[in-house]
Amino acid sequence: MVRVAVFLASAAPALFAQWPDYPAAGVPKTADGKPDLTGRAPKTPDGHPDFSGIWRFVDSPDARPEPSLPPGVGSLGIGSPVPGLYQFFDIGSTLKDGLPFQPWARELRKQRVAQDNKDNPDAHCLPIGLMQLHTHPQPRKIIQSPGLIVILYEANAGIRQIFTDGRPLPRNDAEPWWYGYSVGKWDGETLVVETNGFRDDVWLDVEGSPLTESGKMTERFRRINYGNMEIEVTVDDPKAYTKPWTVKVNHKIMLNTELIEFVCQENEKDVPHMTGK
Amino acid sequence: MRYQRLVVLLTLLSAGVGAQWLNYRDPGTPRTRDGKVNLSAPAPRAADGKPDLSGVWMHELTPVSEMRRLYGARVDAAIKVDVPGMEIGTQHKYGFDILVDFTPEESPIRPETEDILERALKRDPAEVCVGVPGFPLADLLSEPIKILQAPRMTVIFYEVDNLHRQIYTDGRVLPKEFDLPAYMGYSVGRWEGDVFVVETAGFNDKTPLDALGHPHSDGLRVTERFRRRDFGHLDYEMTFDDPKMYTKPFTIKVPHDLLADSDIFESFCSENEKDRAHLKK
Repeated sequence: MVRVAVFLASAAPALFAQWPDYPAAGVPKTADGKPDLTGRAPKTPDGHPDFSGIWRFVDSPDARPEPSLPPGVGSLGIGSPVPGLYQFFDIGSTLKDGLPFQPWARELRKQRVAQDNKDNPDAHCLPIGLMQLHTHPQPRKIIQSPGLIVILYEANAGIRQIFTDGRPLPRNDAEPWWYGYSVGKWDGETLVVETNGFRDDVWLDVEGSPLTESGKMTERFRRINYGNMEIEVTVDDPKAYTKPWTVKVNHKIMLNTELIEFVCQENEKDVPHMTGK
Repeated sequence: MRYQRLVVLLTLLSAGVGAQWLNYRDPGTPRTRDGKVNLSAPAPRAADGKPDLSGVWMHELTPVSEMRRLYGARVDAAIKVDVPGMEIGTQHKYGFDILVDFTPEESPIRPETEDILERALKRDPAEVCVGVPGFPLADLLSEPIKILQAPRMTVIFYEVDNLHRQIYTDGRVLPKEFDLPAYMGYSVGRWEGDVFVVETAGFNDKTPLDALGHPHSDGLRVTERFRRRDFGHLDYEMTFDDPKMYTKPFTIKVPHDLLADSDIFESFCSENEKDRAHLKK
């Protein structure tokens, strides 16, 4: 319960205010004029699928509820109810045997859970890593332009750049970043993004599954139709995991809306009150 | 007298920079025969034929001598506590005092606004990492910005505090009212010939315009005009219209230079924040 409180406290400010609605352009419509979310995915002028839009996370139907998670955490008052956040709390929740932790990583995660996840960066106004940004209940906006795709995250005002101008991933000399360094290329209709250059202390989920600086992430973005996107994420981090593992994250489009500002430091007074040893 | 506080204010505004990001040599950048970036090549165009403002940009630097002329001996005091990457000479003069061009007689500041400014000057310097530097201060300090011009949307990223602004270019007009005033406001942009004109409203009143603390109200409206003169140079002026605080609109010109083959860094004020405990009122 305490854990949930920490998470909510860090995620909840100013969720009810709204920007003025502005109708999204180019939405396919059904015969009765409603948005046809199963309509075809749009394309950019260069013929590639266009991922631009505002997206919300939807928990995988395969995600197992975590026994430690109290009921009712699903709806956080962020507009559309979220069916669940099991993947957000535990990114291995869709895998039959969980994540293939190295022994130290398993031990670390156990400790973090025992400490109510109080050191999750999100709870300290610090950036959360790419995986938590994929599964966070607050929306994200993709802006696709030739040569560069940017994702703006409402959660902790995250910003991610994906270079699609043909540059290679940096070797060894990259300054480690909270969000790493990402390059993308097209494989047919799929955008394949590779990322390295992570810091050594990434939390992949609220419960603190680690990612280290030796980690590499490969994401395959597929816009299945107008309203749905699937991201298949493979994490290869031999320092923390015994073998590479792959999970799927599902997103649904949000129409006629906009992100709002999130300034975590504003009025931040939680830290002295956090529990967990 | 007023400028005495600047040393403290500046120290608080920015986190340590200094690390270098990769130098990626962009093949799309025009170069002279000796391989240097040709900054006077024509400005590139986007697919729709408009000038493409995309790139990493840094405001022109106000030299130390000019800062000393404008702000006096306190500049030398500030130099003594210079933080690498944020030395005096890396900011823009308007980042200190947005009204520095005005004589006291000509200043558009209202008497009531003077009072607010005086109170701001007495604010607790321990309020570090509490909010964000806001507009336009985030682009007048020691850090660059990045413009991304996408279809229907242009985004400006500020290295300072990882801030960004979305500028809608899909034809929408500014809303008349704002339920949710924002630090960075709500912006729409349009083209007048080769000039990109951005109108912004919907600000909250929580951030000052400059380091000194000149306030603005939530009625502030800003008009920005961007013109990419050539590949390496961006003319940029901002007009501030805030009748509640200032008797007339005023305009500042802040030309920017391209930082070729570069990028902005991540910047998070709350990371490793350890100043607050040591600051005195």
